[in-house]
Amino acid sequence: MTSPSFQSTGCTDFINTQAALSRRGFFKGVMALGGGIVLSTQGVDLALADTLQNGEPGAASGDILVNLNMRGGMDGLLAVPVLGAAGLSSARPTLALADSELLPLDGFFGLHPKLAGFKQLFDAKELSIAHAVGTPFGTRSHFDDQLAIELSAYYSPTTVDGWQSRLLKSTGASAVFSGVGVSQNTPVSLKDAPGGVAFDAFSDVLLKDFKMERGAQLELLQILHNDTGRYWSTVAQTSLGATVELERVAQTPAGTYPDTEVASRFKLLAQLIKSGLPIRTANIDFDGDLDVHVAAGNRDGAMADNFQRLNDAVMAFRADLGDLWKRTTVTTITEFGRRFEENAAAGLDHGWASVMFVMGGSVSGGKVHARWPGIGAGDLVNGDLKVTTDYRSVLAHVMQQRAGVSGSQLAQIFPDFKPEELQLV
Amino acid sequence: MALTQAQAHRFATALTYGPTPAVVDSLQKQGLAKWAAQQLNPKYANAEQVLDDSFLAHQLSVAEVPKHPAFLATKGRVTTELTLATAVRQSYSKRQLFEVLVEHFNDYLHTPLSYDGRVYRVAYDRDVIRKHALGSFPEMLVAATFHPAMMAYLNLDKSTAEHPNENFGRELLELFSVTPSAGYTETDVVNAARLLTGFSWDAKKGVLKINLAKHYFGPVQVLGFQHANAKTTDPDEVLARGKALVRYVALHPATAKAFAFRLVRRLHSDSPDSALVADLAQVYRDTKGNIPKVVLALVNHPKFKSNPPVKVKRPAEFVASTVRALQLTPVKPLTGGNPAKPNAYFGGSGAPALSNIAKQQGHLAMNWPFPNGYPDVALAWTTLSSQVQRWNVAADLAFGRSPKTWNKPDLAAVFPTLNTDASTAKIVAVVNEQLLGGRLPAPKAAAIAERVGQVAPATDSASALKQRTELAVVAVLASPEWMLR
Repeated sequence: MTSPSFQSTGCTDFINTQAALSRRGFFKGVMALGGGIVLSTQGVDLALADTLQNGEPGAASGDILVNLNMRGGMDGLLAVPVLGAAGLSSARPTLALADSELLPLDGFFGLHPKLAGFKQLFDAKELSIAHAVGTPFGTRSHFDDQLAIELSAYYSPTTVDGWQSRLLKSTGASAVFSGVGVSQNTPVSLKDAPGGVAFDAFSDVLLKDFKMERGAQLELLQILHNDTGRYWSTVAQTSLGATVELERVAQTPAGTYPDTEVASRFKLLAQLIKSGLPIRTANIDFDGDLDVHVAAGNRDGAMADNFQRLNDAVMAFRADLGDLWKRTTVTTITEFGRRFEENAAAGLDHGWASVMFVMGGSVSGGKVHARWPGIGAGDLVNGDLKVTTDYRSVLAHVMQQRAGVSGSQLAQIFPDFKPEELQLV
Repeated sequence: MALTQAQAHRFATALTYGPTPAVVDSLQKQGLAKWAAQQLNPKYANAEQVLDDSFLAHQLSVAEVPKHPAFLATKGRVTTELTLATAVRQSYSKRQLFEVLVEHFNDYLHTPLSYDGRVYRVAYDRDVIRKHALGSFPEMLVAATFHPAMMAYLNLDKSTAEHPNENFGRELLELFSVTPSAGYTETDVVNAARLLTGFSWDAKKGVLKINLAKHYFGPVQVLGFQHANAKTTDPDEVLARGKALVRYVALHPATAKAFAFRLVRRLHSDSPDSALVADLAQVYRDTKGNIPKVVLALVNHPKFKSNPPVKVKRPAEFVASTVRALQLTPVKPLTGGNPAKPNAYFGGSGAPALSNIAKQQGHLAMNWPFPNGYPDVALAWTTLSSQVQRWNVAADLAFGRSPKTWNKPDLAAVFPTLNTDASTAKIVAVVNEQLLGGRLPAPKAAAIAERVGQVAPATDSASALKQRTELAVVAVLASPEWMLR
């Protein structure tokens, strides 16, 4: 099993939340005409173009921050094993790799052989790694830990928006497409995001005709969704403009990618980036079997396949973006690592600390950050690698270094949290 | 007290896959309480042949399915069959409230389609979910725990005394019963896993296998449940201990509350009213988890009756309600296919027309990849793609744009009161009344009539009437009011 986009309990009243939201992006002004409808196809285009050109005042400059969710709980000790660790080999008789099989990093850690492209990025200083990183309170629950990460507001139980949403809000980015979820459902991290959209195929977002003139159809849909306090209608205002804009974007040539789900998601994201949409942050889900309770596989099998797929998708994305890779930073995150010891089925149960990869064309990479907790019996916490670096410190560091996010903005994004100073990117 | 058309329409919207004139009429005649009781009577429409016999796995026992030549090499056929049968039932069964509950409990005790135990998924739907949906939730949970589909999915069949696999034990507490609010600890999870070690499925015989050598013996405590769990040579005794634990957590007050919360969220509101949840939790406790009694308590509760529809339909509900509203049928028959021709097993079936729309919107029945079931709040289903797709599907179906897949709707039969001399405003009013119980506000109805009038000639002919009706239907199906249940 792996983790969900949405917690099964404890939902919030989105309708009320939405009632407080002002109208978004290009529909500003249009709707202020006392119910009079002045919208046409051309009107939508012009209004959107206007928003795109002018951008949003106060919006953070810098990289597009891509959050890659390694949902399911990625094992960090197989992705980035510690070298010369007899303890690791004895705890994982079928799963540990010999040091000689690993790709060299900094002399203390090695890299899984299927992550050869990542090794190339590391050497080119386009990738850094944070190890023994994770959530402040490990629950070993996919749902709780994933939700906690996406909300990232541990002492604010009333918080309803996600951390990427607060990144947009705190930096004043509200143009449509500021936040993109490459997924059928809106991820929690982009919940309540100004200018947030979510989809994973163009065919799903291009509007078919209602056997009437296009302007009349858009007007009609506009009137039908002219509600206050109704979440569906509020989002529809955004969707109407977005679908018109996406007709243009869909013409952007796509790059070459491997035939995997995660690669096709990166391909779509690259098209959006290349077409000049004002994306500030994006969210992508890895697609694989990281929740390896049974037969985790090291040289081949589940985890080896996972790493290959991850590696190939990111490398294709980088190639496709060309110069835009220099304006892009991809950060991986997972809800937890796996148990230190393998189980009877040569699998790995839920654990705590794992690794995060940070990569991009302009990062100062080639580093591994780890306050190494050790893997001796006394070092583990309930049999898990201990978290010594909070994942929020890594995200905060990336946002500061790569997107010009200020300390006060970070305080809004991660309430009640003082990030650790890192030297990573 | 007799229900108005609008009231009956609203209850049908909440408790079925979509109001039809027949359902609304039945509700008006019987009243809500009697109608719901009839729907929850296991004998009601029990003999209805919604499924053709060609849905092969549905006719086989849990032991027979994996051995049948049609499924030996192609286990995916079992789950394909299940998704098709489910879509057919949701759109066409008379047992609407039952089907609503079946979907709910398939989400509650979810096992997805793509994993090792999928060959047992039809049996799980039938022998666990459908069998107990009109009975006891604790017994449903017991049946789920030891069913091969669940055992394979959450690795209970791999859990041994030496290496207890916590996957099932954790979800038992977190998702299926008390939820984390009960304050259980990691030790509780481990102990739950321990007491449930040594169970697996004997595929040859098609029975539960209890391996005493792999069972953990020794005292366990899970919340307030304690068992000495002393060494025994009696496998039935070990099974009884496992069942006792499952029943204990299923009858825990925290489970009553979680059960009530999820039911209210399914049938009433994304943000369940806490007093309503407390009332239903009490009924759950009083009736030891009797599902129909809790459901009846909900539909007869004043807080349920007073609310307008506020929940965003999930894609399968959008599909079924649209199909029901326009009395749509696929071109091909609603059969399961021909098992004698394995390569074309579902080739002759029209059922994929139904399931494919939901699938495209990320809601193929039972295909959620995680153990917590499909999300049940508006946020999850309100996206750019879900909105544009629903507008597109509304147009495709009403205009009959997929003639090879869907029969064109017979709008004259769907709206029999409309005559060729009807004004456009009248047409919109009739569509609004029948599809939405009149909930579309007047300014929106007027805007629809205005645009339909601009496009279609108001001439006094059958073809003009059809054109105007078609356009009005598309607009109503594209409205936010149609997206709520």
